[in-house]
Amino acid sequence: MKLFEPLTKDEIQRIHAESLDILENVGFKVQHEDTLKLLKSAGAVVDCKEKNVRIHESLVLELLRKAPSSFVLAARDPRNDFKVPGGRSYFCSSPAPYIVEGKTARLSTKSDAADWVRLGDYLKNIHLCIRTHVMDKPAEVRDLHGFEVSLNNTTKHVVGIPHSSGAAKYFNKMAAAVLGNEEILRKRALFSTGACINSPLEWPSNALDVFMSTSEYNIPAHINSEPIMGVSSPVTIAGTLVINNAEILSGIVINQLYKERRPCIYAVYTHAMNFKTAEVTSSGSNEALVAAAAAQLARFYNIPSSAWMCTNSKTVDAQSGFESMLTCAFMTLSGIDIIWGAGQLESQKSVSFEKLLIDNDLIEMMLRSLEDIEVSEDTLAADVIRKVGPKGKFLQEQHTMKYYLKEHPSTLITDYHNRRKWEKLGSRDIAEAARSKVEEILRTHQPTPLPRDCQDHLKRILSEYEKETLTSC
Amino acid sequence: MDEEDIYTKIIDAIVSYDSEAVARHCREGMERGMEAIDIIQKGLAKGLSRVGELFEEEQLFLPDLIMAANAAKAGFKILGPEVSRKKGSSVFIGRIVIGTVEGDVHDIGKDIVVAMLSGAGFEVHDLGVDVPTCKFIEKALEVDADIIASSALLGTTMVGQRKIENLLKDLGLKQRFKTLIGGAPVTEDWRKEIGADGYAENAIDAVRVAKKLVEEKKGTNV
Repeated sequence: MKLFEPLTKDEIQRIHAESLDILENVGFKVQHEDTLKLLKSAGAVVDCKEKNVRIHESLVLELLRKAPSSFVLAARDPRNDFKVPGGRSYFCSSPAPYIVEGKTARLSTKSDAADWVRLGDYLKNIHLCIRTHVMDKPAEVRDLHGFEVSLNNTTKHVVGIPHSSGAAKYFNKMAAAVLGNEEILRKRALFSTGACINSPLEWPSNALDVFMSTSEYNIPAHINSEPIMGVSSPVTIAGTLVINNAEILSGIVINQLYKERRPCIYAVYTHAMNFKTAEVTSSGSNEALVAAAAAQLARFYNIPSSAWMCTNSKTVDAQSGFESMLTCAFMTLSGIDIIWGAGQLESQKSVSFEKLLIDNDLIEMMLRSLEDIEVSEDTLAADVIRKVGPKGKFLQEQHTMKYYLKEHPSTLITDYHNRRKWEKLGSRDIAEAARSKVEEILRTHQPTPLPRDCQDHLKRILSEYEKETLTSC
Repeated sequence: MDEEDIYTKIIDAIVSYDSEAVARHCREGMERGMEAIDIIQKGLAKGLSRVGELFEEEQLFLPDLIMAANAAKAGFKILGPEVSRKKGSSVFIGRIVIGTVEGDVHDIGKDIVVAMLSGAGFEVHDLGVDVPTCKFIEKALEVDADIIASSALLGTTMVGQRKIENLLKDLGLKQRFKTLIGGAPVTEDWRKEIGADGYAENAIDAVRVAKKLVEEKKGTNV
C-alpha cells in the first residue's frame, strides 16, 4: 500500500537539519547527574552548572545508528509477540485516571484496571495492554499495583510505567518472576516502558531514572515528546516537528549511551491548545498531521514510531467517533507502527469500556482498508463471472465464501440490521450495544492465569515495595 | 479630557495588550494629579476584569489574556512606587508564594496563573517547579506571604498539596497562611479532603479566589 506522506524529501531534510542544529547549538537540559557524566564522556559539550548539553551532529548520528531498526515486542504468550515495523499498525489501549459511565466520570480502581486489561486481552485489535490508573491505592505505589494487575490479566505485551528508579527495579523483578528469571527477561522483554521529555528540551530526572533503571534488561523504551503547539513548541506544524524531532533524537542518544542497541520507539504525542477554552487537546487535524509527518521522520532514521489516536469528547458520542477515526486514519495511513489510545476520551484524561469496543471495530475497518487489493487470477474471478453469467447470482458460489471472511472486516458491535430488526433488538445506539457486549466479555473472558505460585510471588514483590516506599515517607 | 477618559484609555490599552499605551496613560494620569490608587482600581483592575470576562465568553484567546496581564503589569510598575510612597505600605493587594509541587515539573498552567496574579496586582514569589514541601513554607515565612499556592498536573503528585497542609498543621502555621490549590486533576472535593482554603478551576478563577482569601485573612487578622 502506498503510504500517506505529507512531507517531501527536501522538507524532511530541512527539519532534520534544524533539529540537529538545535541539538548542537542550543542544546537541551538534563536534570540527571549520571546522564550528564555519560554524555560528557561520550564527547558532548556539557555545561554542568546550567545542566545544558550540546551534541555535535556526528555524535548524534553515530549513536542513532546503534538504535535497532526493528525488534520484537514480546508477550507472556509468544503467539502474541509482534515485530515492529510490521508493515501495519499495532494498537495499544489507553491509560487514564477516570472511567466514563454515560456522561459522568469516576476515579478508576484496581478492579477497573483489571477489567480494562482483561477487555484489551479479549479484543482482536488490541496488541499492547496498559492498565487504567489504580486510584484507590496510595499515590506512591499505584504504579506497581497497576503493573501487577496488567501481568495477571493479559497474555499480550504490557506497557509498564514506573514513576521512579525505585519502582522500576520492582517492575523488572515482577517481569522476571513472570518469565522465570532475569536472563529470559533480557531476551524477551514482555513489557516496554516510556517517559516524557518536558517540552521544550528538558529531560526531567524521573524520566531518565526510569529509562536508566530499565536499560539493564534492554526493556524497549518509548521516547515520548509531547509539546503543546503554541505553548511548549512553536504554533506551526513545521516548528513543532523540529522540537519533536530534536527531543526524541536526544532521548534516543541518551538511551543508546545507557545501553547500546536498546530498542527505542519514536513517540510523538503532540498536543494543541484551544486558545479559547485554554484546554489541551490531542484530537484535531493538526495533531493528526504532525503524527503523519512524524511517521516519515521516524522512517528516515529507521526507528519504529508511535502516536496517539484521540478524541476530546467527554462521552461516547458522534464527536468521539469521528475524532478517533480521523486521528486513527491519519496514523495508520501514514504508517505509524504503534498507535496508542484505543478506548480513551477527553484527550487522555478518561477511558470508557464501551469506547474500547467501538475503537476495536474502527481499527478493524481501518486495518482492512490498509491491505493491498489482491489482484490475481483467482481474485479477478473471471471463471466465476463466466460461469454465473448475466442475471445470475454469486451467493451460492464456493468462491464467494472462500473470500468473504478473508476480504471483509469482522466487527463486534457495529450495527448492520434493518430498522425493524434493530427495533426488535431494543433500538440500541452503538454505546448501548457496546455496554452489553462489555458485560458479556467481562463475565466470560478469562485469560490464561499466571501459575498460583507466580501470582503469590508478585504479591510478595508488591508488599516488599509497599513496605519500602510507604514507610520511607 | 477628564479622568473617565484616562480610565477608558487604560482599559482599552489593556484589552488590546498595548503595554506602552498602558504606561503612557498611567503617567498621563499622574501628571494630571490623579491618585495612583484610583488609577489602579478604576483603570488597571477594571481592564483586567474586562479581559477576564471576554476570555470567559470565549471572545479572547489565551495568549491575549497573558499579554493583557503583562500590559497591566507595566502600569503597576509606574503606579506602585507612588502608592507605597504615599500610603507607606505596599501597593500589592496580597502576597503569594507559588510553585508546582515536589516531583512535578509542569509549569505551563502555573505560569499562566502567575501572569494573571501579577497582572491583577499581587506580589508573586514564583518558586518554579518540583518544589519541596518545606520550601513553600520557608519562603512564605521569609516574605510574610498571605497565600501559599500550589499546582499539580499529575494524579501521582497531587499528594504534594496534602503534604503542604500537613506540614503547616504540624508546624502550627495553618492559621497564618491561606492555601490555594489548582491543576488539571485537582477538584473541589480534593480541596475539602486535604483541608486547603481555596481551589481555583483556572487562571481567572485563581485571581478571584486569591482576592477572596486575602479579604478573609485580613478580616480575621483585624
